Amino acid sequence: MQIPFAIGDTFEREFDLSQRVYDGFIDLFNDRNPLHTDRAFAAAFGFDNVVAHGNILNGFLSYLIGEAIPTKDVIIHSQTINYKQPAYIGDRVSIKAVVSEIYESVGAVVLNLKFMRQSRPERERERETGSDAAAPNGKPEIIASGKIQIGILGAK
Amino acid sequence: MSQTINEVQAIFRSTLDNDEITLSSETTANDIEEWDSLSHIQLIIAIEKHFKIKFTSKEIVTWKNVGEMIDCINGKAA
Repeated sequence: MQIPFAIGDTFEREFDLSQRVYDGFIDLFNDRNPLHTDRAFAAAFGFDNVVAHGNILNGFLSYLIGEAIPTKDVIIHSQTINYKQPAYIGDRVSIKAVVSEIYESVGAVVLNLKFMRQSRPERERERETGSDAAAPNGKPEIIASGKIQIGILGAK
Repeated sequence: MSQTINEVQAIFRSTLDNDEITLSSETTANDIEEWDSLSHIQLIIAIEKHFKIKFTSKEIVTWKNVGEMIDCINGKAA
């Protein structure tokens, strides 16, 4: 089997970091750290709202790799995610994965990752009502970057 | 040979998180507990990167021990 990728191939999907996703994550994994659940606690450390769990982004990445690339014959070998900005409930998040390395000898592919906040409805509402003068101008902003190495099953 | 095996040994130690690993030409995966099928992939990738070479899948399956791996590396890096 050939590796169905070339250097530079790009895959991108958008995800809603919805209340349902956030509630489901807490329900399943029980991480109720106050940074994630107590708005006053989060505010005391300078955050606008409770911060979504970073590993929710990991869940979105799982979908991208498992369902949105050209093959289902795939397994994750390793990954790193470097968080740069907090993600919040209501954010529209995109993940862009670009093939950066291919190792045909072992059927492995490395993709560079960028997680972007495409929009943030709560902030946009606040900006429209003038209640938050410090809100960003609505441009997409990077919230995390990383790298993932996947194996193409049967490609060796 | 000795320089290459020293460099490969350093890659093994780093990739497998075990500073006790000592390679010889006769070493096989059976001699190193951490050398399993997944770590083998990481080892090959680390070696390809370090020596700036590319193996083929056919080459890899013919290696019987570290010595044959080293011979293959030296043949490509020469």
